[in-house]
Amino acid sequence: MVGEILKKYKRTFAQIFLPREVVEKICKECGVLDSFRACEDFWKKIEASGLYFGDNLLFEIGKIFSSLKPFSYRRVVILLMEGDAKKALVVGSSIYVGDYVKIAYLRRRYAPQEVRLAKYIIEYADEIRPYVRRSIREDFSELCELARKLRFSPTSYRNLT
Amino acid sequence: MVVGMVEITEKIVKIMDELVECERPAKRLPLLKELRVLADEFVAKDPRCRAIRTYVHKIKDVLHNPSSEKDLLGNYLVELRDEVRKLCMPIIVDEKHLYRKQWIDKIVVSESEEKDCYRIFFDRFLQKVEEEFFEFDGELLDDVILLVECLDEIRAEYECSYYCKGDFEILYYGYHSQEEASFKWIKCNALSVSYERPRDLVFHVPSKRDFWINIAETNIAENGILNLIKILDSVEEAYKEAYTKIASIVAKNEEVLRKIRNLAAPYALSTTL
Repeated sequence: MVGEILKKYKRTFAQIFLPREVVEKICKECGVLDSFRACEDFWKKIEASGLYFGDNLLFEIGKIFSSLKPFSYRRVVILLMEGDAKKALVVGSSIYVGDYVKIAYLRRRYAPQEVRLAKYIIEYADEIRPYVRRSIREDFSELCELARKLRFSPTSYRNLT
Repeated sequence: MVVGMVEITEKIVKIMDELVECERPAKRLPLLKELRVLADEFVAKDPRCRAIRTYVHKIKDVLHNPSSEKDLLGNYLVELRDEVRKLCMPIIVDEKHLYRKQWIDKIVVSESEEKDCYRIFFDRFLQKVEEEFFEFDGELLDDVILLVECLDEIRAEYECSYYCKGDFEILYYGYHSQEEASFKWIKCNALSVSYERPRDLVFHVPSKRDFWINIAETNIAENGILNLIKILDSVEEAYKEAYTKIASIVAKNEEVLRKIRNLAAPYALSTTL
């Protein structure tokens, strides 16, 4: 049954590669052009909402957290186990995650951009909190709690992992 | 292309159109006579037509001589087709022609591997033309008629090429799975049409709109445009629903973001000082 429907569907739509003006003319006659316009309007609104939903939001949060730097006067390396892989979470002048061997033994340092910084802080807030310098610890915790209430578009958040 | 050649081509095409409408051989005869003169004139002006005529004679010899090698026929047809293609190029480049709506449904559009790039295929279209081209009508098996058939292909090629030239928009349908299909309005910029390879045309897409459809839930009817209307309605509903959800998320996010900004304001101020 599904196969038959698909066949029909393909055949039908193989015939509608028409220039837009032709489709618009037909749509106009059928009085449904508003439908297409409405779709475009909604699409534009959805795109515009990216400012409070997508990468822009992560960037904004990262920028706010950057103003709290340095997060710690000491460089603290925390071991994270992700399956068999050993990862290191570093809390120091900035916050970042990397390969444990490179960070702990080779003493590699990274400077993450705002978007990535926001992602690390939201994801590892509980691990980071005890090592943050005392003067910002309370505000940092509160900011993390608030940041965790934000909802990000799945694509912008997934792209970071 | 020589201006005179364009006029001759137009005349030939016009007669050919009339010829197609004639059902009885008696009515075809005066047209064929007129056509022969024009065809001779055409052939005399373009040496490539002589090559075509040579291949046509070779094909005829193979067809009428039972002892000849039939394998040769395929080669001759391929060579003849190549000659016709060579002949097509100047006409495609030099002349302007209004596109015909009936050609459009034979064009296939697909996404290219390159980003923001789509590819138009004329394969189905040309295959059909070639099928017709190699169908020999016993009554009209004459080199003049064959030449006219060659010109039919020329006309067809340059019509489909001119359809693609310039900025235009098309509706692209993509099938993904049993549950998903997408529709895209593609704005095409096909100013750089490759006339040498009109069957494989790549055009750039400055912007696109995706309409995702759940085909398992869509009621399917034979009429494409009615389907399109239904789809637009369902797309509007889907967008409305998506937008309502996003709007509520955005409102909550704005509220939280305001609190975060207030809390972090002293730190932000100290970094700017």
